[in-house]
Amino acid sequence: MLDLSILKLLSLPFALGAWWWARRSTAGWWLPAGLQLMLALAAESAALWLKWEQRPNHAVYNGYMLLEFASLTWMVMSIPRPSPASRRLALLCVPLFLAVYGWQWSLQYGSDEAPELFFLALMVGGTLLALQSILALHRLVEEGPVNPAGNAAIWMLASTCLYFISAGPLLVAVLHFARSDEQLANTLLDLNNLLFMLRYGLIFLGMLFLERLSPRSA
Amino acid sequence: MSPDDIAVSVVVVSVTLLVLASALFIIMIGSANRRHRHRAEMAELHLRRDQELRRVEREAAGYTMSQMGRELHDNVGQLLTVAQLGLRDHLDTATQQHMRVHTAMEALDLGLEEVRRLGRSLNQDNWQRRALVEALEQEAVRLERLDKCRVLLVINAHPADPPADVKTILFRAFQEVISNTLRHSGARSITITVDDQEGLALRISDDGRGFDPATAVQGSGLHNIRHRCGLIHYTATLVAAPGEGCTWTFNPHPAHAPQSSPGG
Repeated sequence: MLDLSILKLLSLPFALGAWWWARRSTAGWWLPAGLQLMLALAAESAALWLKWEQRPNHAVYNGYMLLEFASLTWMVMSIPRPSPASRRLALLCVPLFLAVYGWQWSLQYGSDEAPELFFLALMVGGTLLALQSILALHRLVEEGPVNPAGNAAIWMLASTCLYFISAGPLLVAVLHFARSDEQLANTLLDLNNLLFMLRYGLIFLGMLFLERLSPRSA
Repeated sequence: MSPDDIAVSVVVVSVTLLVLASALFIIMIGSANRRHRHRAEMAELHLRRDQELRRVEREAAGYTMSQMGRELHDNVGQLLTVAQLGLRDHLDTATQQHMRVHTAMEALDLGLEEVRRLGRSLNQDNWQRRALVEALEQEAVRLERLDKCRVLLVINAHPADPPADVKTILFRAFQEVISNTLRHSGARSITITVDDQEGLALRISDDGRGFDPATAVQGSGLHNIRHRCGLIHYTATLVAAPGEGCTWTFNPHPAHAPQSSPGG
């Protein structure tokens, strides 16, 4: 059977390639989006390698989570462009996430047990990012009429919002079944991998639109 | 519940959330686009209403001015002519030669001429036959004759002659500016420049004492000039400073550059 972990990893170079292709863009969120893609590629590659080596990869995801939250907050804050309202929202979300992250860090690395995924931080961070995406979409559509077939920012917001909203319950279930029913947990993880591919597929589309919309220099 | 049931429920919840979030995105975009369309339509309606109001106001102003012009030319002019003829017929030559009577007769002649000229300039029917540049030339000659200051008319271009109602109102605004200059500025020379700025553009500058527009009392004169120009989709711009004279510019609004009149 085709390993979805590899397919999931393969979706990242496509999105990253489209990002590089759209490098003429003047959109403020182009840089944080690329940063997040590079971090994702590095983290997912490292996590997959550790999985093949049959070693725990939680530490990779825990570190990546922090950087991903930072880059995605920067990206969402810059859509349609950085504004006092988006900065205020980011300033509210970042400390909240950092508080939960710090709390989980102190709980897990302060105990003798092997550290696990900072699950609560992931849930809180994902929810905050989804919320910021919806508010960014609100700012975007309030500015003027938007055509989804010609607006890259919508696809970037959709990728963030849809993934974190729908993957949350799956990850809760994965965590729940990780010890009791590993096969079921892997099936759910595969579904999460499908959502992951959908997310980066949307980013790929967004970057294609961005390239189409970017002014070409002579 | 068995683990499989829980897993199925979780998948259903995930898919439902995915669908709901997608629907939220689509609804937000759709409703915002509809709202923007509605706002654009409302703005378009307001613009049309505004244009219609301006057109009606322009027609009303034009009609009033035409009526006034006819009244001045026909009735007042007629009365003054009767007075002029009556005096000439009934006063003997010696009385007519008397200095005060002679001055009064001259003032009456001048008054009659002015009333007729004003009547002609207000009557829109006359503007159908008369080009604005030609009217400006005649006005410049008349102002020179008054011997109050030097008047220089510079015609840099020959733009298409505006429609009659535009010509009437523009000429009235021009007269208002000239009248203000003669009364208040103490200018020694006035320069009138005609240009083509996607329609006839007019600049009137003087070398008088000028004033500070920021501190000047916005009397009905300045307001009238701007309002009248607005009616014909012209922009009236005033540049003035104490000791540096005063310049009025009348430019057609690009979106409403006047069409040439059939005769123009």
